[in-house]
Amino acid sequence: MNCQQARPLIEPYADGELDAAAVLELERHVRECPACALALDKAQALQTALGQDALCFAAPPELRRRVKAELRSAAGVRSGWRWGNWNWLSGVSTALATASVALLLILTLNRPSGQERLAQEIVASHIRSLMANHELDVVSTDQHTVKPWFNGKLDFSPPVKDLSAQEFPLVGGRLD
Amino acid sequence: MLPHLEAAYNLARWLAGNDHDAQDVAQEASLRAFKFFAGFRGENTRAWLLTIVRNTFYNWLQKNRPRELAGDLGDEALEIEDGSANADPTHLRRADAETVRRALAELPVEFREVMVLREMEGFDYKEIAGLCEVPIGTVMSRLSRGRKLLQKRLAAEFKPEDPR
Repeated sequence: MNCQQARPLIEPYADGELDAAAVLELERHVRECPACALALDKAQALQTALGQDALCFAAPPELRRRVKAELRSAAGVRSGWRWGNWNWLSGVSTALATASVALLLILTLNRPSGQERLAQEIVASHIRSLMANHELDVVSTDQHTVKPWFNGKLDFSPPVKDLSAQEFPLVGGRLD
Repeated sequence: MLPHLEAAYNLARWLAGNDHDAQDVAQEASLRAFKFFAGFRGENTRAWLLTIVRNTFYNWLQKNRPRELAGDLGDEALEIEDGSANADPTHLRRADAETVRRALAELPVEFREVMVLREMEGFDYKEIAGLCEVPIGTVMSRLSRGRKLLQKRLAAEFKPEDPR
């Protein structure tokens, strides 16, 4: 390596950006060339001068306070929205749960015993799904999405009805 | 965004040149970073935040001091070459923070930013290139020119104290 080749590598060397082979070659050249050694010394001296901690500006405490306050209020807006959303969801699921309990009660009370057993099974599996927190296998308000979903999972095609008109909107399907 | 507020403020302070504007830039950048954090897919949060600080600063500069944007690097770059000749490593090593700070603050912003990112924030060439949205070669040449210019200014600072 000659000086012409070495010079452009001196700063990248000081910055730790050279690969191992170039490092070895440059170090060999610098040992033999006082001019390049001086250039490297200058580069490293400048890094020392610029590396003083005192050169970094510390963030003023009032900036930290202001940013903290602003982030908190920005985060507050966001989590408030989430909280509202969650309230809405839990309201809906409470309504759904109440509706299905009412439906099952009607079924249980008004139907003959054969239906009663079916209702009990439905209630039991519904409770199981609530315990596992897994109410739906397929989430969709569209009959034409829910019905095909059962294809191949059952040896018959279950009727999928949208009872929105009766205030029981379709929310999806589950296989028990 | 708070963990990197020091870095955000330091860069903003070096770019804007005074505390008041730097605080505005750092604060706005932190908020923007917070808003867009959900969309961030990278690994280096600090580099990402500093990219936002830098963009916020240039937007701010365009709005408040548009004349500084028109800075032409060409002329100054030409006369840099012999600048480091007078620099004495011993003097450089002993330079006090105030002198270095003054000399660095006088450099054109394009040089100042790469030097702050390299020497104070410790980013490598590739990270600086990503942060400043320029090729690595440009980072290297800006660093090199900035350093020569700084050496020259520091050498001039030492002369009156130490005549030879």
